[in-house]
Amino acid sequence: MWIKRVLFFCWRRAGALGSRLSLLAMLLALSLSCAWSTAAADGPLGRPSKALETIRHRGEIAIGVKADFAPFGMRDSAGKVIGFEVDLAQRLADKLGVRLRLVVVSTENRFQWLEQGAVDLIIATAGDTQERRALSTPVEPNYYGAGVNVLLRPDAKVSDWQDLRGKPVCALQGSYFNKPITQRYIIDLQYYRSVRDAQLALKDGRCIAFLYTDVAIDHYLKQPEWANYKAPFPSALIIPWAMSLSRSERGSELEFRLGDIIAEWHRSGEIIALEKQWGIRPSKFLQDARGLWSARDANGGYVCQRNENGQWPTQCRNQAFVTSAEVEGVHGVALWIRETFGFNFSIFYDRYDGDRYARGLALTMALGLASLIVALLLGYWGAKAFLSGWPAVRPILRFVGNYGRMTPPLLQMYLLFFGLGSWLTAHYDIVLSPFAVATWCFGAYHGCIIMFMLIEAAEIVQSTEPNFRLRLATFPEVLRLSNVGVRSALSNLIKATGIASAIAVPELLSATIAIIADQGNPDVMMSLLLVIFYVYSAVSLALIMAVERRILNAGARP
Amino acid sequence: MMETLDLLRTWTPFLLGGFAVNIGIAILATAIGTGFGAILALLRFSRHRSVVVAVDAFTSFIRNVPTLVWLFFLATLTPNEINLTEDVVVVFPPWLKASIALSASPLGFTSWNLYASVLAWRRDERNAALLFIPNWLGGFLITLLASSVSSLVGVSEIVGRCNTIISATGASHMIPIYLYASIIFFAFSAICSAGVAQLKMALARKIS
Repeated sequence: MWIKRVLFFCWRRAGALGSRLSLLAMLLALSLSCAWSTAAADGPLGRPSKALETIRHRGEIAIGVKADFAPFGMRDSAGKVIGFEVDLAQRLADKLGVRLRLVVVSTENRFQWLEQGAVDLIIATAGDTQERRALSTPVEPNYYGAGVNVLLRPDAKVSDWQDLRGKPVCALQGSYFNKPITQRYIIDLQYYRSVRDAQLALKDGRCIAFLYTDVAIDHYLKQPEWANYKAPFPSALIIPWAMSLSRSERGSELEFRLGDIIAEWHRSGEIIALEKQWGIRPSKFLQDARGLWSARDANGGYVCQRNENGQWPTQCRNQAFVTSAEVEGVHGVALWIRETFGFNFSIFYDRYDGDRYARGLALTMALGLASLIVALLLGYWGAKAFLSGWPAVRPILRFVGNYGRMTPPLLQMYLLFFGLGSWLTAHYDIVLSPFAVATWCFGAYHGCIIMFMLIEAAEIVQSTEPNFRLRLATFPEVLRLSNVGVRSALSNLIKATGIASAIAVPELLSATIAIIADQGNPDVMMSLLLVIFYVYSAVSLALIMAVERRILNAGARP
Repeated sequence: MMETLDLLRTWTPFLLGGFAVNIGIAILATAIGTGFGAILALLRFSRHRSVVVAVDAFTSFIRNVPTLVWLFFLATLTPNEINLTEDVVVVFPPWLKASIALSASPLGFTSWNLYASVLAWRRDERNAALLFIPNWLGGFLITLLASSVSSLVGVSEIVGRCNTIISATGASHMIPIYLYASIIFFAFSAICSAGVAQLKMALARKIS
């Protein structure tokens, strides 16, 4: 109990200090203003909708759709976004009498963008789950329904879901089914930021299966690209999909308008016709929905009609929520904070989140240390070779070194991991580990920078001692003239490791984004990340300086 | 081979357009960082010890948090549009967020180094003081390379556009497309670095 009292005291104190910490307060206010809102329904038409007003004012609705989920949302050969959901978006805009502006969203960012106002509505293959209901306002009725399945490599030897236990499976960051599937089958999921990345990883054999929505997998199996791949398991976790509005639109006129339009579509079979047009396997969900929404009562009216509060009758509403929102573990204080202040520190009460966060932190440190060693070795050996006087070494090293330090590490990482990685797998059956690629790229980029610093310093020494040779014993002498630059390069390296999240290294930034995608707590997780990285960089810098002092002292002792 | 060259030629304007976005973001980030950094550097001359301590703490905080973390912080926690009144809407697009996040590094650099340079100038060590300029330009090039991470929050700059091209044309051209983009970066940076080196030498000659 005393912990709670102390926390409450700190909370009050923090409030009093707030006026002085004006910048922090501003940031906090900014984040809270977009995080909190209240809503209540008033009557069958809903309360006035701010979003609808803006949409009318602009004469345009911004709808977020996906471009990586054929045939629901994809790019044609000219780069234009087309698909089943794009057609739905167009029809909605027509019904509202405004222009349509398509915004391409991803599984990872779609709810974030919705909340930030970058889009007014998403029709983006989003499953309607309990957790998502806390992040957004799903429009009822649901417009589609699908399950989850795995696309297996031709050489995968598994016969049901249980066999996947402990095997590497590729997945997409932010999918609603990642967490329940991991908990249910204890699968070792590797998270990728885009479908393209996950598919490449599957083809390269970094994982034996790709966990994804069954309708998308159906579509892959029809493509020659995926010949011999298979999806023999029954679908799991079948849940409906919802178009979603931002949290502040709950109970608004816009939500009601959209709900009425979708209900009308279910009755007329318009969505079923569109499904057929796009060659999608007939969904049982849509067949059932047509029956449900067309049913009439004894008086000849529709069974599914809004009541005086604007609510659909219970039997017409979505009740098939997955149970992933169940929380487990010991967690008194963290839960109390959530209940009292609304700050969701899920890593302290949800064991799954806590584990992936701790693993992320450990991996960030391992990545930092490994790339630091690579950078120092490359810098030292590069400078040594450069100064050796062997023919042709200088121009080659100068070119390679400049290329290495003048191209972004992110680009190098894509080039090595996806470009070279696919080629190696196709021709030599070699699979590159993302961790090794990231270590190499950070090490090489900063190693090139360090190499030039050491060369410059050694040349200064050589100008007074012509016989000077760079060796381990003379290294301190060179470091003395280049320590500031080398230190700053190493400290930048430590700070850059988050970029590895782009190639599915589940380090701290990656873990943070994954947790935000599941929990919808960006304020808490991002603030925590700021603090942790500040402490981590400061401690790393202190350690680097301590080692540097030891090396310099060792050199001073003749 | 010819097919690959054709592909690269077709998409060159698109990629260069992306690179212009990188340059724009880097210029804006450097401008923001230098402006605020200069203010901090001046504050460091204050007679009040508390001001100096506060400036140091602030600078070290801004600098010790990685650019990428600032970028995701701004991208996830700030809205894209802020309605001040009915008709006045302040737009806060991802590229602006990226510029602000990337300004952390030039801000830290200016805050420390401008202060040191002013001190050197006062001691009449002109050479040391003027070194600020080529180092600052070197910092700009590092910011330019770092601007590629803004693709991770949806800015359509050159690396993001590489991925767009790959998803439109298929994975078989991945290596040439990424290589091509890296060469664009390399060529631009190499030319600029050569210029910076010239400037450094010219400054050294002028003063000695």
